This record gives sequence, structure tokens and C-alpha cells, in this order.
Amino acid sequence: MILLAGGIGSRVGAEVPKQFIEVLGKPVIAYTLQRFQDHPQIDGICLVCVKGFEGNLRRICEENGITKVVKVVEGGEDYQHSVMNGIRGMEGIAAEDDVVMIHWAASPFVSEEIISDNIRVCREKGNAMSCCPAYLLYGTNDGDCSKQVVDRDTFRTLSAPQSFLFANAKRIYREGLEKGIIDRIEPHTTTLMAELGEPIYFSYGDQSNIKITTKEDVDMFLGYELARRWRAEHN
Amino acid sequence: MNTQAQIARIRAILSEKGMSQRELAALLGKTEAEVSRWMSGRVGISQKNIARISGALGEDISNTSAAKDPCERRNIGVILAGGQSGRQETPFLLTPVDGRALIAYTIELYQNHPGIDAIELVCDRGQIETLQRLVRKYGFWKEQWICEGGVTYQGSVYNAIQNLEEEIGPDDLVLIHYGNAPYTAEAIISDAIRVAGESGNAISSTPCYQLLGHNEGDGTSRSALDRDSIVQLACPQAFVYKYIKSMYDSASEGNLLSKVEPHTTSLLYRMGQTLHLSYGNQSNIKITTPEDLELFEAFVRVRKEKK
Repeated sequence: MILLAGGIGSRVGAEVPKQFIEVLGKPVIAYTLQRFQDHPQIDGICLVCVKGFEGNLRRICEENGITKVVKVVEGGEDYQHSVMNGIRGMEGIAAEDDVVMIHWAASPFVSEEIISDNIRVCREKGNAMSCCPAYLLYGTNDGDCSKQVVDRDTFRTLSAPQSFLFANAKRIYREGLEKGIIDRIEPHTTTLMAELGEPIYFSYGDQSNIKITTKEDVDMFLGYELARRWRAEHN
Repeated sequence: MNTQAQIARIRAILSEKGMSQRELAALLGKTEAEVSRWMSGRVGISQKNIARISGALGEDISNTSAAKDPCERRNIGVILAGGQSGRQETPFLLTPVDGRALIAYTIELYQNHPGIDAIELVCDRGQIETLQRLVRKYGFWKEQWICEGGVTYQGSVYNAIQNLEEEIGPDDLVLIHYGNAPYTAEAIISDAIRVAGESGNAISSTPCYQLLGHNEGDGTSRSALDRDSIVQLACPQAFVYKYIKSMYDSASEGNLLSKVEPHTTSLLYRMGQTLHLSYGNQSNIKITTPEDLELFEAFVRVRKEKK
């Protein structure tokens, strides 16, 4: 799988990129890596690392018993370029019909069930993305106000991981580059696929599996980890 | 509005936290120069920015001014803690979290907020005495009214509104809040009061941080939604009393209450109303599952340890 840790996560307002913020003595990325280290169906991890933090990452892997890392590549100038670096990094390592799973380092809430279902749907359909129904209420954004309801049944919230058969991942990004789409659209895999007319297949998701974006999210993860430890202690 | 008092308070908090104006600027996505201009007192700080600063610093700055609303308007928190749907909402809200009922944390938000004058509780049939005991136990003296909810969400809200008819003034504000949303920051309530006071209604909202894919209905998505064109709506939902009463009266007469989705926002949209948006954040979630309860308990303990 490809773990994207190429960003700086400036909206959290911390001094280090958000994936390196420490929670209970461990950086967020260590928790995320652990999920994939522990998952029986994950064979190898390719790390896409923001420049300057390669040494940190090596140490984090050693300290936390992360042995599945097979490659480390540099983060790109934006999300798309990080993904492409990751895909290029898997050349020679992944076979054409292997499942290549892309996940964000700042999404440590991911469960075993989410990972397993993502692999299952990808093997069946060629790609898969973890998603949830929308549980909140939504309205149109008309500046300072909102004039119309947005029907939550018409969409799904999309998160990570997102998997492709390796051949599909390469094809989608190659087409995106050839057609000059990549630089034109919002930098996400989903927008690229929409532009190319590729359907995204839904796999299981959980509303707690958020991507840490703000300081409040970091606090929420702290609470989540504490709750998990207390539960483990009392069982 | 007392800008000088607010600036002084911001300075004090930055000093307490050992935070520089540059760091504050980074948190807000503003330039250092702009923050510096605010702090000099040379320019006013917009209320929206006061709300953002409050969110970033973790303390409500907007209530620093001592001046009360000139027209002596009262602000009432209406906390929805049950109804007669048979779903037994009140017992869930009585679940102890670190030794205290969950609902107590929500009521406390309004008890402690300096801009809130009184509280109304809405509960399951037969739970009024239980809640009255709880209110006495924790000294929530702002609570003045308790009523039973209706058979549906809309029925509960309508009961709450009608129960206040002889009790409050037409220009007073009511803030509708879900009993299972105890994570609400003070600044969220303040901004709802401000916006509703100006525009007649206010719904706490956040931008959509998640990716949203159009649901084709066949297990796939083939296009993304433009997240910038959508907002997430939460609570509190604040209204001038006469406004929300007339909306619900009309809806009741027109038999709409049983036809719309069980949300106040859905009703207002259906009636062609424009919702005004006030500050909100992603942490203000609703506690629904046992996992959510555990998470909240951890949060409560962490908060205690920090003090």
C-alpha cells in the first residue's frame, strides 16, 4: 500500500506537519502505520514522505516495529504528484493485478474492517473507495446564508483508503497526464476519475474515520486513543 | 461592543499560552500584518473574526464587553432531551459519563454561558421529575421550564415553542440545541446569538472538509460534489421567538409538520426561508453510539486533567 505523508497539514496550526504531531508520546503517522502493519492482507508499504522527514520516519518505523516498509519516496508538489510518486515507487514491486491501496497518514482511525472491505471490492471491481452515508444536515452555501436544502441521500462522504488494481492506477494517471487533466482539476484522485468517466466503487466506511485537519481533530484523536486504552485495560 | 476590552483579553490569552501574534495569524490563515492591525486598535475586528479568534484560542472573546443588549432581549436555550416517539431518548441522555449524566454536560453549556438568560428542557413522557431532580442536584438555576416532547421531532420543537408563549417576549431569542451535543464551544453559542439578533435566525454551520461523491445509486460515484457550494448544518439553531413561532404555527395549520423531514432546518427550507449561518466546528458532534459515549468520557477526563 501507499501511505501518503507528503503534506504539511498547515490548517492544524502545529509546528510540525500534522502526521508527525505526537499524541500520547507517538506521532500520528505511527498509529496509522500500525494499522497496516497489523493487517494480514497488507504485504508491503510504500511511504511517500514530505521532504526533510525521512530520518524521522525511519526512526518511527524502527521504534514501533513497522517492518513492512519496502520503499520510501519523496512527496510531490501537491497531492496528485505525491500519488504519482507513490505509484512510480511501486513499479517493479507490485504486479499488474495486485491491489495497491492509497491511504492518508493523517487518518489513523481506520479499522481492520475498513481495510479488508476495501481490498475485497477492489479485487471484484478494479477499484474501491471507503465511504459513508452523510449523517449530518447539509444546505447550499450562499455566502453568509443558505437558501436550499441539499438532500443527503444524493451523495456519500468519501474518505480513505482508496484501492486500485495496479494496472488501473497506472492507466488512470497516465491518461490524466496525457490529456492535460491533472493540472486543471482539483488535486484529488476522485476528481481525476470523474473527469475520465471512471466510476468509483464504494466500500465500507465509518464516520469516525476522519482525516485530521484541524486542532480539534487532534484533540478528538487523543480522546479516541485514551478511550481505546481504557477499554483494553478493563477487558 | 467593547473592542478595547476584547483586544486586552486576546493579549492576555496569548500571553498565558506563550503564543505570538504570528502563531495566531498562522492558525487563522491570516497575515501577521493583519493581526497586528487588529491588535493596534486602528481597525475594528469583525464579529466573524472575533468568532474565529475565539475558536483558535479556545475562549469566547465576544462576551468580554460588559454592556448588555440595549433592548433587554433575553436569550433562552431550548435543550431537546426527549419526546414521546417511544424511542426512549431521555434514559440514554441520563447515561453517566465520568459520574454525571450526559445531559448535564449539555445543560451546563447554557448554564455557564454569560449570554444565556434561561433554559427550557424538553423530555420524554414521565421524565419531568427526574430532570427536575438533576437540575437541582447540579445547581442549574437558569432552568425555568420543562415540558414533554411530542411524538415526532417537529412535535417536540413545537411543544417547546408553545410552552414559552406566555413566558417570553416576541423579540427574545430561542436557541434550539440537541441534548446529545455536549461538545459545543462557547463561541459557537455566542455567534448564534449575534447572527440571530441581526438576521432573525442563525444555524451553526461548518464548511465541508470531507470529499463528497455523487451517489449514483448503484454502489458507485461518477462525479464529485463541489464542496465549496455546500455547508454542514449543526446546532444550536437560534431564532427570534415570534419568527419561529409563526413558522411553526403556519406549518401546523398547513399540515406540513408531519410531511417534512424531522429537522427544523428542513421545515424552514420547505417554507422558502433563508437560513443565516453562524460559526461552527467539526468537534460539535452528536453522541449516538456507545463508542461516541466512550469518546466523550475520554474527552471529559482529559479536560479535567488539564485543569
